[in-house]
Amino acid sequence: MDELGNTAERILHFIQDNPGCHLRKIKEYMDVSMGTVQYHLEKLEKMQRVVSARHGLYKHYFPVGIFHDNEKEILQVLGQETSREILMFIIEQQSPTQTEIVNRVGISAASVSWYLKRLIESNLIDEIKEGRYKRYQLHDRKTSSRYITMLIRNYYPNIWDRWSNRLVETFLSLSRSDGDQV
Amino acid sequence: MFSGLLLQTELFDGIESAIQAATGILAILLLALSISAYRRTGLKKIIYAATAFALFAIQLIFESLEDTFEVLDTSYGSVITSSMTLAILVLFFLAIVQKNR
Repeated sequence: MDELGNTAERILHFIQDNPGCHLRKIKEYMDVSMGTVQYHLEKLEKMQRVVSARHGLYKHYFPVGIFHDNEKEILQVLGQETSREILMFIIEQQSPTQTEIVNRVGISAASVSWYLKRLIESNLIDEIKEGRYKRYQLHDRKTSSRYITMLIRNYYPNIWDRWSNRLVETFLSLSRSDGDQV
Repeated sequence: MFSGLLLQTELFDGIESAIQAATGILAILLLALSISAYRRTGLKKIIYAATAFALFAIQLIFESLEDTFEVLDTSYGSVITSSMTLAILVLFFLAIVQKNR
């Protein structure tokens, strides 16, 4: 941390506490000029302390190494309204069944099953078999719930993402998936 | 009376053009949405839907060209537009029956 100046260090702390925040939000918190924030963000990126991802009009910043090698995939998942809703429900309920998730989200079981499969592939959640039921819980409950909640708060889908997501759900709900189960 | 009839025809032509333009814009919007959805999800069925929307947009362009240039308004043109309609329906059918992968 020694090689970082005071401003860069404050920016880094802010990003660590608010993963997924965008430039304007950092500027508001820091109360310095946009140019200064941009300069320090560039420096932090070069030093590989933060990474950025452009999403619509905004560039979002994340501390390096929250989700190891699948950060980009996770951001893609979090850019979908339904995935976010499912994740928040899993965080709230700790280990709900698929039926509970379907009832909460209000879309077809086929769509929910597809979203759950993607969340498992991204190592965000785990599937636990319990008799004839399957329960879902966060992969790393201690650290992930805080980061995911922060990311969901700071990194949200724009109107275009929401529309394209609804198009996907329309086609998913018209057919059954391979892994439909309760 | 003749000029009234002419005005009415012009009005209907104008309405038809406006509806065609709106349909074209919607088809392009749906095509862009489905491409964006495919890039995000990688779902094969979305590719079928995107192709159907693209064909629909092409069909609209072809029909408006047929109206503008009489040389295109042949029985071949009718066969092409009917084939496009069939292809669009087949693609939507494939998008529905394709497994969610």
